Amino acid sequence: MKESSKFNLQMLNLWLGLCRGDTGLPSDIRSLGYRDKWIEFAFSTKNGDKVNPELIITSVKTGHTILFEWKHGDNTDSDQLRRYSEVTSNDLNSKAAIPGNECKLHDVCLIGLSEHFERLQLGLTNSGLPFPLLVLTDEGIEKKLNSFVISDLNQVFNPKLAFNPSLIPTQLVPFDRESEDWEIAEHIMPNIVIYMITGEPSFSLDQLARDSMSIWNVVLAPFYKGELRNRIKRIVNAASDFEFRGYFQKDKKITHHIDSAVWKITYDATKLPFDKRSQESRKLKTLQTEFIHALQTGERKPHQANMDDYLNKIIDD
Amino acid sequence: MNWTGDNGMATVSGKALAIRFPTSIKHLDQFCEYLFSSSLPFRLWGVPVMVHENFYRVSGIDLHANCRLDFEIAPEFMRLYLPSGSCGNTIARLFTNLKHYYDSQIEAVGEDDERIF
Repeated sequence: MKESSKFNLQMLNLWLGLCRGDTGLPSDIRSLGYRDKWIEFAFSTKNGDKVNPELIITSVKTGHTILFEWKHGDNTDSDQLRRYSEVTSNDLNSKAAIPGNECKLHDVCLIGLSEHFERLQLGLTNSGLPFPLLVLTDEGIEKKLNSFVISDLNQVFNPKLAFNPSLIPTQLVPFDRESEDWEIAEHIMPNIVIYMITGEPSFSLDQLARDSMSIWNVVLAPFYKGELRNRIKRIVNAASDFEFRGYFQKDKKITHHIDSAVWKITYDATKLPFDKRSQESRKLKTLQTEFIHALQTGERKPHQANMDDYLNKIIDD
Repeated sequence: MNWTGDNGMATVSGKALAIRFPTSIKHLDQFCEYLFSSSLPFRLWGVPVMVHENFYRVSGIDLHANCRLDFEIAPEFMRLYLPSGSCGNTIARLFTNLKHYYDSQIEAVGEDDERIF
């Protein structure tokens, strides 16, 4: 997995998990009343400058809002920091729809990897801004520079917010556009298996995206949606061309246009006798295992071409 | 779990339900293979993916109800993510089966560690 993708997704899942008090994570953040508010919501300050925090969390209990920026690399963006420094409680209330009792005070918080601490510290120190800088370590999260305006929150990081980073949730937001193909396949293919075992005759790209990501209809920006749509289409086509060949195939009549990609299901598990269904499910699991392995490694088991494949390829060409 | 939002404002609602194992699972890989074998009594479908040595995730299907159920499994606990639209019975059935066939001491906890089963 790409480092940047891993860290961004990891931080989003971590803080959503901390705000929920997920089992395996410390409950301190939730105990202070923090709840996740908005994910990747861009808004303007009174000066018209735009900020786009990765996550906003708020607490009624402390009357406090935190705007998070994940820093997967070792650089800070001085212009971005300046824009964040202009955010006021009034902006949070009027532009980001945060109730007044949750944003009496606020902090902008940067989180980075421990190996980039020195460079991040330098960038933040040079900016002269008091934003708290947290780093992810093998033992949890440490506050390395500056402080939050809420003393109870500073206590949470004194000396560190301890947890096992290997237990950070992964399924709250399972993938993003920077995830690897196999990670997307891991999450979307079970929906296709459900279509197959429930006797659906076909499925469309949009249907699959909606069923796999409930965020699809809510916020995904058009460019982001288009990019993910391309990825999903490519992955499903690969599945239909190789491991799941014989289970579903591109509907060539309407699949040329990306928005209307449709796959016909050529397999109907509902006709199988009940005692054969577990066996078939295991077979589908084997195919999914092989598909994920092929996407991870680029290696595929050789399969025997048949006349139908050959003819289909000619038609495609 | 469900996503809601409007005008670029996105938020996720719901949280993972957890099943706690008082006795740590010794062989997590074998446990996952057994649980997701598609066979009775669990009838769960999924390919376990090792995130770390002692942490697996599974994008799964409950074959009893043909609905999605996603998992994160560690030796001491299992997090369950039921997507919006999936059948809630799935959780009760899994808990009952784990209690009956794996460990009678397990417990299910929800928000703020409140015991729900």
